[in-house]
Parts: sequence; structure tokens; C-alpha cells
Amino acid sequence: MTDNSIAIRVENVSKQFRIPHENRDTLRERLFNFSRKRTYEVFHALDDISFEIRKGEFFGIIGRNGSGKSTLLKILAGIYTPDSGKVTVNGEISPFLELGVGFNPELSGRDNIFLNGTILGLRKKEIQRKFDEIVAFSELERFIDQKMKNYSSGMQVRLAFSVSVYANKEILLMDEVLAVGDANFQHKCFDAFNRIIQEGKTIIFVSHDLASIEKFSNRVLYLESGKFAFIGNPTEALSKYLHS
Amino acid sequence: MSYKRQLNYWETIWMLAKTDLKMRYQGSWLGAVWVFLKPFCLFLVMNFVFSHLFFRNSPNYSIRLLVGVILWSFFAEATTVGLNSLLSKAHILKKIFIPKWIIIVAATVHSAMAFFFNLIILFLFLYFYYHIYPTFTHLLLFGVYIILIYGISLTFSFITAPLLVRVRDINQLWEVGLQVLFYASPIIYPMKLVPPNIQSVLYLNPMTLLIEHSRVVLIDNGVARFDHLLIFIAIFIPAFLASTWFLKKSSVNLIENM
Repeated sequence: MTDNSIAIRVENVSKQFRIPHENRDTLRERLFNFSRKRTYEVFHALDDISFEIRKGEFFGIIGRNGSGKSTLLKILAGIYTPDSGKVTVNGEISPFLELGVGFNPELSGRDNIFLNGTILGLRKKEIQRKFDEIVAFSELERFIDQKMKNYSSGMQVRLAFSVSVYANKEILLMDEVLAVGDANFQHKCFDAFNRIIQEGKTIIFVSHDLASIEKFSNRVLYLESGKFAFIGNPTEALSKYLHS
Repeated sequence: MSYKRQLNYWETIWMLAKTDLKMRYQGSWLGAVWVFLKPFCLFLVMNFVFSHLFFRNSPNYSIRLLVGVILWSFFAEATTVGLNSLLSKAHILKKIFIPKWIIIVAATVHSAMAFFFNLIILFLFLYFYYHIYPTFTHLLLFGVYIILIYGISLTFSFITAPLLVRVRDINQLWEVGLQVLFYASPIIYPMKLVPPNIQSVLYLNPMTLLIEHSRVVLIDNGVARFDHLLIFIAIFIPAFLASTWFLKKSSVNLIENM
């Protein structure tokens, strides 16, 4: 990539899903239905999407359910492969498509911090060094050696978010990560976001929480059934979205 | 697509494996003792049935059986967990990019650890009950056989784990396949009792050679056919490389099908 101010460049990315009308996953079904034609619906999750995200941006993505937001994020995170088009990522990505990836309810909060942190790309030594801060941020000091299954859902999210705050790399992908958590904690999260942005990092944020999108985003991408609808000023994007 | 993630591979493998271990034995009274107990009970049953009923005149039958059972359990367990590894970690793979081989290798760590604990038992028997002391060279050769067993288990898993995502029958098939291979390996019966023309068929099963050679170096203090080993390795290495290539190829659009 020549332009160093670009964090992510997406060029003409398309992604289709074939949704079979009947799930034929076993050998028997394949054998006995061999002659019959397999019928499926082609679902265009993303259709020829191009845009750029600059370094240090808080970039929001909005759209109705099924408009391709999560598919786009999964492509950026390297989980899905686009059918056509190109994605160039300049920098290292922390994909928090979901908070607490790998969290295991049978393990203690402590073990889960190490498990989740490792999956997110932290070294064991780094986790040990940051451990107290992570726990302090989550406000779960008293419960850290309890099994996670005894946590409330809010507590789980708090712990998960704390790990991701300390595991962040240059580009953060977040998919509806603040759906749970009380107002006080959400406030803390956005403070953390601001700090991350001030460090020159990039945040890509998918949400239905339009108020937060408008408040924090520098620019917003609006997708409409897999197609590019608008990119730019958050207020304008929201009004287009609300009036569609 | 250019994609980079800094992930410490070995730390990730170890962390996933450790979680598996904790999960496997949590809430069980005997915990990790089952690692010894399972193959040993299998051995005791078979030893009782076969050494008393059929193979009374085979020298060192029991220790030969134990070598066979331990090596076989390693292969059977490693291939089974390896085969299921990607599908059983779907909840992680759908949410974050992790190289697939890491998930597969992490799943087999438990089998490898269980195997090494079982080896301790085997050597205790060998040294203190049978008073057999293999030479250093023999132990070294045995080490090569162990690596090869692990290698073919990984080769198998690299190919079948991504296939299982698309064709879910493979784990049922493999249960049957393991039964077939078990009887096609000289575990419960001595190879000498097999007619020569069938012997050569049995050697198509990779475990046959590795089990037989292990017995030769551990128990018989004999000379295992080195040319056979070289042919085995000459087949194994390209097969292993092909399996890594296959895994990479089939990783495209894999998560989409989970």
C-alpha cells in the first residue's frame, strides 16, 4: 500500500451465500439425491463494495438486519473469504466481532482472561503484566476466581470488554459489543474508545445504537441489502437510514 | 488478501489444550488417572481373554499386547479428536481468525500427553517385571516410530477435519474404520501366526509396521528392517506435505459452511 494514512482499503468486494433449500449434509442424502438437482437460493450478502478507512478514524457501519454489516466485518477480520474484490489491511487487526471469544463458563474469570487474551494475540507475559489492570477495569476483583458460569451476563461482558481494551492492536473491529452492560460501564467503555483513538488507532464499529454511532463516529458507512448506500458524515448517514 | 495477525502459535496451542484438559476432567473423581486407567483396562480385558484362550504359547504375549494397545490408543484417540477438532471449535473459528492447523494440533495435545504417561507404565513393566533393557539405539528408533504415529495422525486430521465440516458422516465412518484397522493391525494376534500372503496385505496398514517394529526394538532386542522404515518415511513425508496443502486449500470458504 502506498498511502500510509489508510488503515483499510476495500475494493469491489462481493460475497454470496448459497442457501440450499434442503440441507443435504450427509452421505446418504448425497447418494440418494444425486440425480435430483440441488436447488438453492443465492443471497448477495455484499455486492461490489468499495471504501477506505483512514488511520485514527472511528468508523461506524449501519444498516438493517441482513444488510451485510457482519459479513463485511468478518471479511475484514479474515474469517470469510470474499468471492471477488480485494481487501488491503495496513496494520494489525484486533477482531472483537464478539467479546470474550473462547470464554468457557466452567473456567474461572482468571483462567478466562488468559484464554481469551491468548486467542486475541497477547503473550502470556503481557497478560500477567496487565492482569491487575484488566481485573480493576472490569470491577470484578471479588469474583475473579469464581467460575464464569456464576457471573451475570453483565459481569461476563465487563470482563470480556476489559480484556479487549488491553489486547487492542492498531485496528479494532467491533460488532454490537455494547449491547449489554449498564450505563456506567458503557460510559467507561467509550472513555476507553477515546483513549484508543487518541493513541492513533482505528476503530470500526457496527451497531444499531444510532445515538452512539452519531456521537462517536468520524464517518459512517450505510449499507442497504448488501449494497453501498452512503458514506460520510454521521448525521447525514443516519437521516438517510431513518428515512429509507 | 494480505492478512496478518500476531499470534504466538505455541502459546495459543498450549492454552487451548490446557482448557481442553481442564474441561475433560472437571467434575470427575479420578480426574487424570483415567489417562492410565482407560488403555490399561482395555489391556487387562484383552490380556485375560487372549492370553488364556488363544495365544498361550506365544512368548511375552502380554507385554507385546501392551505395546500394541498403548500405540493403538494413541493413534485412535489422536485421529478421533483431530477429525472433530475444527467442528468442535466452530464457536471460536466463527469469531476470530486462527490458522486451522493450530486448532487441530491443540486438540491432539491431550492424546500425546496421555500417551507419554502410558509409556511410563510400559517402561516400568519392561524394566521391573520383564527385566528387558532396550539399548539407546533401540530407544532412539522407538522415538522415530512415535513421531511417525503422531505424524500420520496429524496427516489424517489435516485432511478429514475440514472435510467433516462439509460431509458430517466422516466421524461415523471413522468409528467403523478404526474397528477395521484395529483388527487389521497385529495388536491382539502375533504377526507370525498370520499367513505370509495376508501379512503383506496387513503391511498396507501403516500402524502394522510401526507396532511390529516397536516390538522388535523394545522387546526382542532385534534388528528392525531399516529399508522398510526408509520406504515408510519416503511415503510419509510427501503425504504429510500434501495434507498441509490440502488443509490450506480447503480453509477457503470453510467457516462459511460451519
